[in-house]
Amino acid sequence: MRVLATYNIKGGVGKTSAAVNFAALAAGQGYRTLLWDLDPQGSATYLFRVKPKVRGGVHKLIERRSDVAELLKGTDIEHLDLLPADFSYRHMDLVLGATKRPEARLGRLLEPLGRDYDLVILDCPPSISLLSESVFESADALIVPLIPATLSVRTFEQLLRFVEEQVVDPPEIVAFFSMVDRRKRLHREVVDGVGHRYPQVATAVIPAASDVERMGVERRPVVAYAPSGPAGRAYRALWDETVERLALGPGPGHRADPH
Amino acid sequence: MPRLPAPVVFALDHGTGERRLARWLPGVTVDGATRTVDRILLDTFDGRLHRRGLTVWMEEGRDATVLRLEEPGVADHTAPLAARRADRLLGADLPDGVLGDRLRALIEERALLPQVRIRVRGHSLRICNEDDKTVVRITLDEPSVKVARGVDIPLGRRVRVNAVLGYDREMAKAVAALSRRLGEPAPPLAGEALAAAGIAAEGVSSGVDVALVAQMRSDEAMAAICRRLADVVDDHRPGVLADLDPEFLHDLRVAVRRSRSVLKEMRSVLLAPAVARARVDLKWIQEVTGPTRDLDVLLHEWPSMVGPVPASMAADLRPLVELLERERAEAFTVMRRALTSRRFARAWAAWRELIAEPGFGGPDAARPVGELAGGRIIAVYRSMVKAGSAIGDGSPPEELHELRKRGKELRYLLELFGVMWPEKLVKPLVTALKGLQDVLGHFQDDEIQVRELRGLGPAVAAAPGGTDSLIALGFVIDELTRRQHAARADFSRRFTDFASPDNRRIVHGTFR
Repeated sequence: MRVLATYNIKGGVGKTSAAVNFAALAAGQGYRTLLWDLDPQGSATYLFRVKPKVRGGVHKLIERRSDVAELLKGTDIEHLDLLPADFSYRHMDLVLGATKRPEARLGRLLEPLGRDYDLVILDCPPSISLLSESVFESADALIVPLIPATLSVRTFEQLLRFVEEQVVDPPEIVAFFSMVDRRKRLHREVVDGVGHRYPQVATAVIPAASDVERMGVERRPVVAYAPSGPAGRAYRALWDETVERLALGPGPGHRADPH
Repeated sequence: MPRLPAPVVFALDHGTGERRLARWLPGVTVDGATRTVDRILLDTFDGRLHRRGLTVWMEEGRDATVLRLEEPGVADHTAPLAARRADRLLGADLPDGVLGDRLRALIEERALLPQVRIRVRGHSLRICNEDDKTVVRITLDEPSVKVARGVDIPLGRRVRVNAVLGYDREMAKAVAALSRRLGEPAPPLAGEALAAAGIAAEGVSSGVDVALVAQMRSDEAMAAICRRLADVVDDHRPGVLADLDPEFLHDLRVAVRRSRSVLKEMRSVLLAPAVARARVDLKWIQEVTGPTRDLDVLLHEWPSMVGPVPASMAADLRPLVELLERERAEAFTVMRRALTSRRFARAWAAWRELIAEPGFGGPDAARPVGELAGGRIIAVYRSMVKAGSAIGDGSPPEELHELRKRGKELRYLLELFGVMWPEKLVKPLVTALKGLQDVLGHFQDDEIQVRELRGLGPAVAAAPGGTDSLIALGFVIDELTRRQHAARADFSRRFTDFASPDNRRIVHGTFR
């Protein structure tokens, strides 16, 4: 089982969009996939039309008094299950702080699911906190969306430094630009410049497209309702590149219908 | 582990379609999606999965192939299947993970072979909740079975209700609603498909199970056993010639060896000239099938044999494996020629004719079989105890091989004639004998394999990169020699069990 986490300190940069589309694409290729919506806002949960409710809330979950397997929900996409968000996740740091070795806690919660899933995707809330540290320790790779702006690049550098200096077993990093408008000179300059400077940045970029914005209305991943649109194609290219960079393998091969 | 309720399938009559189902199931919507999947039912040639109530399908979808395990009361388990030979799946071809591990344990060294091919055209429906979220998946299946090129027989239509994880209550409601209209769940599709294609789910058996009573004439008992063993040979020979599963050959050879054993141990039932000719013919069949079987075993055990070879040298063994595979292909060609030759046909017809009718005319033909077989069991056991007791640390390997041969004869006597005595008395003896035979078997197999590999030395050396391969081969031979020594060290303990006072008492008290 491999664990990927979509992460950025900043909000509104495309973490959830990447998480749900990656999860749908992975499931479509036959990976038995679990998406854990760690963000108390519950956007990924909303997109899969699941109620943002976890029985017993964050306390029972983190203290391992709930059976994680009992909390999972199947989505409308074959091979893709969801561990929903819950508003109590806003207290995640407090609860983690009260446990022994909080940085290892997420990994231990996921351990029993290892034989049931090939891939777990964590959709993280925007912050740098105890939860982030636990994510860094348990994830094999961080998927980091960047918007093409100077400040965004600065926070990426901070993240690289933090992971390298503070994390015992640092995850691999795959960053990518999202919300890219190629008509804007600044976007072109940042994407090309940063792409050259950091080998972690993927070649594939996600365009600023109305297809992506429609996800909230459609309540499905864009790759499910507009797979041939610019955003759908971009997510597929990014996923393929991610699979290659992380050597996830060619995919178990079964392409279920993600509609 | 996520707990997903098992799918429930109901049979449908011709009048029931999507619209009627929509009336019965509130909240159901018709997806409009139709998917056609080709499914191939897999099982070992001896029906191992069927016997355990399991159904395994290879599903060939539009984009990929999936292995699906169906088990009563449990959610289906699927795993993607990588490229493989179309006509069989060996343990190594099965996917990694839970499903592959489970099937590997069940089939052991056997292959999963195609039994029947069906095509299922499925129309998708789903039940949604107030958020338009799918909470139950339903498919209306129209299956047909392919019985010949271009000939498809339609099977009964079905509605299949699949749970969505975390929505058990909705699943239960849908199943209850359909139960009220459609009654009990339908029997498995695999059974209907096999019946329509006229295929026996039980597969080909190598069991003998001839009913014997102690007072039966020995010639009648012997003929019945030999006829059943000849049936096993005939049932397995097509599989051997098709080269689908090495175990066809294994089972065929066991049947021939058992026949030879019966001939030897019960030779006084027949007249001497008949025995002599049959022994020559059966020995010849055993000999022409031997090299292929030895190489099958060698290739099967190869992964465990090369375990101790350093990873850096693993690639050096590749030419050796290729050489073994070529040798095996050549051995198979020779064997196939022999098994389809006029000599085989004549020998087999003569053997069949000999065992067709009792009245063998030997001095013990009319003697009660319980008496004759019991006497042979005691005699062979005694000779084994005597021979085994004489084996010490310095004894040559031939003495262990000889003991193994006698052990096989005793085992076949017990397996074929043991039904005449209480199982609780025969079983402990068979268990002790198996323990001893395992050790002797390992000892001899390892020796054969060392000999086989040494024989390849010159060919390996002559091939490109031959020196590296030879060095790596040295590691393999070293490991085999180590294993052989371990088996030898275990002999004494196993033999002591076999020749224990308890077992001696059982033998002399039971079979006299």
